Amino acid sequence: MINEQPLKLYQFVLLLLHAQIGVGIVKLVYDVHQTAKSDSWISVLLAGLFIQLLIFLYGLIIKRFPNENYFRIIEIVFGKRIGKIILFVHILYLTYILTVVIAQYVNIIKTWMMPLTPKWILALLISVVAVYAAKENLHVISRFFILASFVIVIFIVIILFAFKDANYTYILPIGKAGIKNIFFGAVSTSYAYQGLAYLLILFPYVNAPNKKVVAATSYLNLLITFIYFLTVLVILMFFSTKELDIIIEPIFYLIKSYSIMIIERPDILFTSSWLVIAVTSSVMVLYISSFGLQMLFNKKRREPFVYLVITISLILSLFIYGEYHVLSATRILNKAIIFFAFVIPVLTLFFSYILNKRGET
Amino acid sequence: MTKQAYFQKSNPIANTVELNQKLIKDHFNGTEDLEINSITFQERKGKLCYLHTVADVAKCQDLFFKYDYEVPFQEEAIEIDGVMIEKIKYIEDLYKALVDGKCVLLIEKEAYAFDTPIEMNRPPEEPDTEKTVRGSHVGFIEDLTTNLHLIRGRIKNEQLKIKYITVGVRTNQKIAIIFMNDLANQETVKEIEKRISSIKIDMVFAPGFIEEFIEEHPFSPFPQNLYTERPDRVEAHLMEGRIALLCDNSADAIILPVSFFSFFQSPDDYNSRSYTSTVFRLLRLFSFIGTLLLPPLYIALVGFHFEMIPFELITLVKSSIEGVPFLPFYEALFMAVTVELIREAGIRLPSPIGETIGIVGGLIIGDAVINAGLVSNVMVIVIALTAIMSYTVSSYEMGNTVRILNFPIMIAAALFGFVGIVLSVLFIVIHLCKMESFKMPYLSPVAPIQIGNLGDTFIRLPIKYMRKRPVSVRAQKNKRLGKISKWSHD
Repeated sequence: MINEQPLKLYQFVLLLLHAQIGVGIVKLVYDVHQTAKSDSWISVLLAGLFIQLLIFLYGLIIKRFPNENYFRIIEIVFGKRIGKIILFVHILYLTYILTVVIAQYVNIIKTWMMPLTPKWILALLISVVAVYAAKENLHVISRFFILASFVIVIFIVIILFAFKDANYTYILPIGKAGIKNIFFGAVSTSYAYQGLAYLLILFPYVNAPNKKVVAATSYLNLLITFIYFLTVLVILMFFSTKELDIIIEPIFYLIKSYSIMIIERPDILFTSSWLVIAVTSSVMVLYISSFGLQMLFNKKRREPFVYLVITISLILSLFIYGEYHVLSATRILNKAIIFFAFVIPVLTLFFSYILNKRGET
Repeated sequence: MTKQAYFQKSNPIANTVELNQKLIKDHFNGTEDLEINSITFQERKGKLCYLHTVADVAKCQDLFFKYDYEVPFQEEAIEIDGVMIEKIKYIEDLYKALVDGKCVLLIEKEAYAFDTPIEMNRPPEEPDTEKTVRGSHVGFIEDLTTNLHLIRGRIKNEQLKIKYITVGVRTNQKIAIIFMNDLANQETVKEIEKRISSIKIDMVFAPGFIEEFIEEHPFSPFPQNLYTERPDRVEAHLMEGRIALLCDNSADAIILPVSFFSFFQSPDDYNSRSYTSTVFRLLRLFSFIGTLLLPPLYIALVGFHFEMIPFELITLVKSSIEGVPFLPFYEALFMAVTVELIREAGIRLPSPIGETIGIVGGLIIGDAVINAGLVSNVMVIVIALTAIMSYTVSSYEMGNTVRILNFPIMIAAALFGFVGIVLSVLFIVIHLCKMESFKMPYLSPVAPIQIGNLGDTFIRLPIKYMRKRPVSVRAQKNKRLGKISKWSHD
């Protein structure tokens, strides 16, 4: 990344978009619905608001360190030794995200499409494709993401199809769950928003003023919140609260229920297109974590780290099997995300004010 | 007379032969088909200048030899032995005369043009692989000079530059690099020259040799250079700032750098209405995807996701595959290989025998295979459709590529169903995203997106709205159209 041409703004937005709309969208409703019940859609909007505040927080960091990426900022603020430790832990966390992504992908494919194929083969397949993209530079990756974006569009259109059978009384009365539950529902969606944290890592490489980068990210957040909102809303209107307590991946059930023209079982088609999204989000995590390792060890080549990270994640993901394990792994991740995407940046900002440390302009 | 035209006429030729010679040399940017020979004519020393790709100097020399002192130097134009001789006063006329295939005699303070164009000894025929309905029906032949003549005949501009490079340590083959000096990216030109001159090989048998030496990804299944036998296509690409390579003893021009979408354009697109060509172009792209995906989809459907087949079709498919003893993958493989066999067997045979092979292969095998119950009839339909679709892709190379790529995807589909298809297609897409040819991304202008150039990819806008040259070719001048004339608004 260091010797590359700067990214264009649209490329940067695409990278974030695909990092964001990852596998999380499948589990989104289940997570929120646990606490917020029929008011989950409010939680999603609230979560979008939180994320917006987070983006402004990131904006403050960017303002103080306009030319350094996040990994470097940590080193500047906390000193070399502690900085390296934090960086290392951060990479562990990224590796864990990748592990969960792969585990979730394997789990869903096994449940919905290939019940008999061994886990490790499915995990290996996605790993090979992800590595093939992630070892390239961000320009190549963004080209790939442009084409993958068509899939997101199809994905959303398929989801919107369900509005024709929606029953709006399911979300009434509004506010039944209570403010506290809505709030905690919003917090539990953090898994679906983990990609935005890459803003802090990628912004120095964008060929645009930092203000514009932050603004573009805000618009992106608006778009993503809107997509999530629609997804959650359509599912809430489609299934009753009792059904949603039982089913973990309501999107698939939703799409399974109708047939589009000559396609019986569109859920299989949907799962296939969802596969593309799983690949793009793991490519992004893989890229960022290997980049972190490259910074940590101060090496010229990033490629070996890509192989290292994917190997670790691949092996670890094999230990997470079955619906139950995946669910608990996501819950741990939810907490980790709040720590790494919110707590550490806040601490960084705090210490940079106290110790009066700034980046060179 | 408009202002511009007025200025164009305003420079009289220089006073000395040397100066005139230098002006010509500079103006033609060192193109290597410009020849300047010293001659003594009527006891006066002079220079004879011409472009050997368009002017036939022998005619001129014959004239000198035969008439010598009778050739008058006068103000008015005169015709001797069918050769027009006229005096040139302005330097711009001099350039134009050269481009038009005249020999120019510079003598003392004067210049005379002898109209001696090359006459074609073999009428170039329309290439078999790139037939068009409308437009030019001329194709390249094996002689390099004739081919260059065809290009110079179309582009009457001094900026057209031809460079010769000799390749082949033992055979000394001549290769011509052709580009527009004021359009083509000089960096790319230099890079191509560097790569070509670094070739150390006994012989250059065909343009394929050069191609494999200069392309960046020799192991990629996708063609990275466009082959064409049509001068009009070369012309169009040169005007977009690309570079053409012509090789002596070969009727193919190589055009580079090109992107994926260049392989789906056909000269016919620009001769028909914008809607028609858009539909046909979409059809070609659809065929590309269809060829890639149809057999794997069928294999995956039958093998893994039988429940996806709609209820109305299920008995039909089921009854057709019930008696077949093989897995769908082997059926598909068998039929696909048969199609390849028919193609390979028929391609080199004289056409009557080739047709026989087609009948035996297509009709008899196709029919017998179903009757014998070896292959289901749905599979035969699928494979036959795939074969037709692969030949719809307007580039022969791309059509072959896509049929070859079919096999790995079929294997993936047979092993992992839809998951295999999606992941292998993603693999191919990522590969395409990685590819660059002379710094031009292979998938441009879609990825990276260049909105101004999208008018000539999936769709074809009316030519008047395609104002910009492809950005990724990195031409020196980006605009190709001036302001559209006012008439449309009045």
